Amino acid sequence: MSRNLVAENWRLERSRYLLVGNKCTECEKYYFPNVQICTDCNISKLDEYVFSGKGKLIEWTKIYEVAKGFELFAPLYYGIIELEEGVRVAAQITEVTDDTKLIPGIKTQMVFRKLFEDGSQGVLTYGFKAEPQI
Amino acid sequence: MEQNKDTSLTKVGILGYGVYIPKYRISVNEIANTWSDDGPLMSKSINVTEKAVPALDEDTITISVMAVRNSLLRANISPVDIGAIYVGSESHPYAVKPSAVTVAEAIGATPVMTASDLEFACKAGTAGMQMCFGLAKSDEIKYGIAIGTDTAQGRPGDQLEYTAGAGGCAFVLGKGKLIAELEGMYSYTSDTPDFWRREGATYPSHAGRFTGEPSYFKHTLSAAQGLMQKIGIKASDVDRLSLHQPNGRFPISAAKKLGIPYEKLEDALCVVKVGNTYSAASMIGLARHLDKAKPGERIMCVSYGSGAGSDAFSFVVTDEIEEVRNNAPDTDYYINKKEMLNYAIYAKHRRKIKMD
Repeated sequence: MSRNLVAENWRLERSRYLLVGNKCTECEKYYFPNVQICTDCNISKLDEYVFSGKGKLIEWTKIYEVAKGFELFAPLYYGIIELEEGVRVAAQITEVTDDTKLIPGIKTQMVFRKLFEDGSQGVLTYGFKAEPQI
Repeated sequence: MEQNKDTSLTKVGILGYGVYIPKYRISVNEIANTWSDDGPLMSKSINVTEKAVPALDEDTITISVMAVRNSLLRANISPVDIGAIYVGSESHPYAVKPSAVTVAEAIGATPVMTASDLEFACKAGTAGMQMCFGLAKSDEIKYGIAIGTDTAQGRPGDQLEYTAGAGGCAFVLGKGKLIAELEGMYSYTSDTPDFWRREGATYPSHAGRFTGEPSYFKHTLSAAQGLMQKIGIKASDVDRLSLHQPNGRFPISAAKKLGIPYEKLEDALCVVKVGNTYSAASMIGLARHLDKAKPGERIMCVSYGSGAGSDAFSFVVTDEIEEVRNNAPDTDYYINKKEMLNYAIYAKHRRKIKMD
């Protein structure tokens, strides 16, 4: 595999495991993933912020022809989730057994799940997925 | 020398607890139909109606994280004060690389702490509890978290397949605002090969009837009786009992042999609806007792791990329980939140279908 999953997973651990982003100390705008400079007030003073993971579903899509390594998980559901802090995050949606219930606006909660298995020998990737609260 | 009168400085116990059980279930009937067994008879003989099955993206690490997060909602402590995390399981996703570090990272407890994965069949979770109590009592750590989680596998068609479930339970242990105070602990251990899984083997093997009398019953009863003798209580002093539950029959017989009525065990018998959750089984039973217990009640919890050994604990519930109980979903929330699977989808969930 050309991607260096070990380095990527290690670098993204805090944002994927704990939903760590940041918040501008001036205008209090939230960012996920975190940024170096606030795009609104152009300052670099931002505080680390741990998002609660509560949010609502904005839109979703269903993928039948999945990428290599995801065959067992097909179909995959991906969605745009708006966290209660106002930030929009793209996330896989888990625990979908009836997608007629995936109505934009329903509440979601980020849960801790396995994101990817690098074959039978490689590392396992963990992180957040959105679980519909229905 | 004057004795330390402030007992809150010396007492250890439980500050928070959390349970997580995956939502998928398969019924004993469905498994029996696949293998042309008599479902109702099987269900009756093992006293299990259905068992929990992990989602495709769930494993021991993810279930542990969800249980720990629930336990922290109740314990109300800062994760940086956690000095030890132990994950007891016989289904760790990696053969080499600890589950405990991912759990620690996912709750923000790293890096000044110790962590390790434990394995002792179904009692590795309670072994972690003992380690946390020891470290906390000697003031080496402020708080420790002991987790028992399993996504147990049973060979297709084997008796074990009817019961091997999935679930996790976490306890925040130490000194401070205790919801249950530890009265004492006692262990009973011997080399008794009733159940095993060799390195690289997919499914465990067991010694059939040998798993009963010389194994489960001997160790469970000896640990329970040893503990009662050690702390000076009688069976009638126990208000609530949680035992390891490899099926729905063994714990009922064991309680009877201990002279403790069924009613005191009943709340802990989650095996009937979620199957044997292995390392989590006796701990989830203890958690369900804490969901319902009144302050002042004495709860005895006895685990059993094949190979073989039992850890027994006695706790007395404090007034604090009422404050924290509703801060996280209770055990019944997870027991009742369910979606039934047929055998084909179950086989996919449990990776019984070879993809390459």
